[in-house]
Amino acid sequence: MHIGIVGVSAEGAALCYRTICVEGAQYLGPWAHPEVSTHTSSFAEYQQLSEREDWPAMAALMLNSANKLASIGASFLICPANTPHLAFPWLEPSSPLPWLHIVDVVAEEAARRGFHRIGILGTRFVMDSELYPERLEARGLEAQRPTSAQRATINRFIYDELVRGICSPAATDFHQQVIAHLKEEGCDAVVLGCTEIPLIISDENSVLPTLDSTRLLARAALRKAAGQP
Amino acid sequence: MHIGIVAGSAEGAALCYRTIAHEGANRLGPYAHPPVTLDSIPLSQYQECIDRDDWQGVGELMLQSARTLAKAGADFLICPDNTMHQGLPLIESRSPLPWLHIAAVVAEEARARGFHRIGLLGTKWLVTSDVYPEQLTARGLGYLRPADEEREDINHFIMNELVNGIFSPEAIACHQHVIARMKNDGCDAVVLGCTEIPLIMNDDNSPLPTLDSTRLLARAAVERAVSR
Repeated sequence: MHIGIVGVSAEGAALCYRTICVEGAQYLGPWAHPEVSTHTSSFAEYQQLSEREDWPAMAALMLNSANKLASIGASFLICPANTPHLAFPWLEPSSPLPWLHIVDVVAEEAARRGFHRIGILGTRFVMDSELYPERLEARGLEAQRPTSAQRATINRFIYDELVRGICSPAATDFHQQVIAHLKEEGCDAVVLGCTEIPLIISDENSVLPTLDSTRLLARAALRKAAGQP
Repeated sequence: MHIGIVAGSAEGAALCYRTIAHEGANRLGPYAHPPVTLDSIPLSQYQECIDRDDWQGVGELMLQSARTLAKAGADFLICPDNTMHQGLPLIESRSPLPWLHIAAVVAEEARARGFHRIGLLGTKWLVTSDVYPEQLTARGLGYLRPADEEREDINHFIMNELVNGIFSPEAIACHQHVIARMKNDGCDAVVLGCTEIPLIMNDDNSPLPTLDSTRLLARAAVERAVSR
């Protein structure tokens, strides 16, 4: 199978793409992976549509990428960015191909690992939305948002630094503090629900086990393409 | 213009792709970049051809990606993989789109910065080939290939670590050692002529100024995409 990646923020898309290719070897042998194609429209367009919370227009932009990927032979699609998943209700009915939904993949993993209460990190659009709570609750899990002040600061680090490829100690420190707070609030895991957060946070430097949305999506796509359960 | 990336090794292609996104913002404003499509045929397929020295086969795989990218609407192509450029001349006349040649971009930068004698780093296939010598010589620049043992050591780190996303202190030390030797032998710059080498080497840890083939190609592609 041929994996189509609708790229939005390049850092997260690059991490997802190279995870698919490098980990492909585990299923398919040295240096092997399924064919992967990505199409990426300018992130500026996505950023402006997020600011306006114009999800139907974002769905149209994603559909443009989806149609290109379908025309070049992709078998299914993934979008290694969490915020654009808010556009899925407008996107899926007209999509030429099926998708793996990043939040379903993460929520499934959270359930499989037996976590109960999951902290949500991501852009303010993701953290303010029902994207994660809805899909976690459907599996009997609870979701916990950071405080409103924490959400504003996380959002600023994502847009001012992470999506620009800047990984500062201040950003790492702040995310660590928020995760410690989520732990105090009773969370037993945290979703890295922005595909750039794994650039600064991992199980090594987080006080809670992490659910890395970028790599989990890459691995789910790889298993699907390689015909693995 | 829409940039098409014919990917070889994914680590280098990913670095090139994200560099395009960030460089785009420098030219087009916050978060903006030209549209980019990337097609990545498994490296294992390229490697089978390379292992039997079948550069025509490498070229045919590149052509397959080139056609895919043309269909997706790309205006021109780049290949962020130096080794594969040995296949490019064999298929370029049949390509649906024009290419920016990685070694031409790097050699042009070497000339612009006034270097004279350039050390070559890359896979064993690249450093024994004429991909760089041809482009450097055409601009009146000298070059130096790694010695046999250096070539095998570097190739080992590239194929067993870097393309697999592994970055070890031993790999850095090996590259530093070879670059220091090239400096002693009169080189005034070194080409990071494998798109993964910039993941471990840069101007801060190299004994010679570096010519980073991955990022130079990304910048040249953005320049071309925004200036037409």
